[in-house]
Amino acid sequence: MKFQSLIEIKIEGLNQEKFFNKLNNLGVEIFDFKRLSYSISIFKILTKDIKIVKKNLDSNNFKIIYKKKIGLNKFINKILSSVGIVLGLLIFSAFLFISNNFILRIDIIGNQNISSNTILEFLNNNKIGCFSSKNSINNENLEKILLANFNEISMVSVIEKGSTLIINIKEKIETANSDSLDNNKYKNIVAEYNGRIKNIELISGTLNVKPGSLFKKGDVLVFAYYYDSLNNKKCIEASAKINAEIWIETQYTHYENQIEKYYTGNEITIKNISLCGVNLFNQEKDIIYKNYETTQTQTKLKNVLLPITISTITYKEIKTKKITKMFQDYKEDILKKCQENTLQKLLKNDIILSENYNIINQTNDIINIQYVITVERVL
Amino acid sequence: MNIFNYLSELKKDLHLPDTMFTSYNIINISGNLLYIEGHNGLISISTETIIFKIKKGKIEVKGKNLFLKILSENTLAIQGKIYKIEVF
Repeated sequence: MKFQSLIEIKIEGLNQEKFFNKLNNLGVEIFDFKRLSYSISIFKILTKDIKIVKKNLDSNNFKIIYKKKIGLNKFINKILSSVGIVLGLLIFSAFLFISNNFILRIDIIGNQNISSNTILEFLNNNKIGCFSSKNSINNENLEKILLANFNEISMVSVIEKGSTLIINIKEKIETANSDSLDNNKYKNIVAEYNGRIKNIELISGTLNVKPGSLFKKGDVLVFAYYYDSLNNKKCIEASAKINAEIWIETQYTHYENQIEKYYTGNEITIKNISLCGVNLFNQEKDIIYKNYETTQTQTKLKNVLLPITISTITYKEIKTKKITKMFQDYKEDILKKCQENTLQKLLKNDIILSENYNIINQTNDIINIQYVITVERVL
Repeated sequence: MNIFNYLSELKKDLHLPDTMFTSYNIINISGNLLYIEGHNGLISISTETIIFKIKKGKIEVKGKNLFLKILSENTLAIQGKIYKIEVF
């Protein structure tokens, strides 16, 4: 009865027993009938019976003092009449709909080498992200796609928990004894300069050089693999203590005959005035210089209502002259400069063994200088 | 409206004949609720006395703060402190 829709009515009138017996005969159920006085009563009826009761009350000259809805009816009425509750219910329903049907968060756990951003980017490319519909995500398929696209993943599980998509990743464990021949991960030790090995102590990998071997820049000194007792090639980090003589070089080219350009100081300035890109005034001058350089400046006039722009082009005359710098006159300066440049390439613990230079005449007026410092370095 | 199956259960368990259930049945629950099956309409109602018709006569219920918890075509339930039930 608690959740039935009831109406409580207070009536006033005589001969009430006759009236209630009549209602009973019409199949109307009456609840909580209290007789407050001889002529006043309160009772409850089901909402569906209100029309019959009202009709009989009118025909028997009963006066309705009040009529109010109670039970489920009252509850529904109260909710519908309260804008706040209705609005709250609508927002709650919308939130419930979103949280039940959309992914609001993606959690990636268990990843160490693969960054979460990489996986999120991959998911975005596959049209999976925040506010993706849950129906559009097939967990099993997503697991297969992730496994197929990320070599580093050995196991992956995708589950939906509420509005969160949880991607649990187990990465492959790779050790030095791994059979993997992934050459990208283990890199050879490669020479960065030309030189000669003084002594070498291998820690891991395979040696490609021996004491006394000459090597060039780019040569492999230690390979990032080894062969086990069954002659299987296995990748490993290349590591060795290498002590070598290194030849650090600097190249310099000297031109005995040089063409130098200089400004004569002559210049022509042409001014243009424009309004919104339309030329209002063009200054016309002939450029009489054979060689020149131009510089252009634009000035927008301030404190004027119209957007007027003044552009200035300056033509500066240039002339060239031939300068002869004999190598012998500049030799000491050039060698000093070469030495300084070479010394800058040295490391803190390098021991300088010797210094020398070669002068090569390429043509009559072009001279190449090769400055070499031999150092002892621990690679 | 059959609130309780008590009467039919009683009839079944005690193997009572149908002839015993021809007129009215009254169940008094702790003197606080009176459940009546087979009434033929109200005669008088007040907070101290409720009188209603039965097939061959009338029943008068006396008590305090009486009111009709349920009143339907065939059954009625009186709630309140019940002191006396008289059949005429």
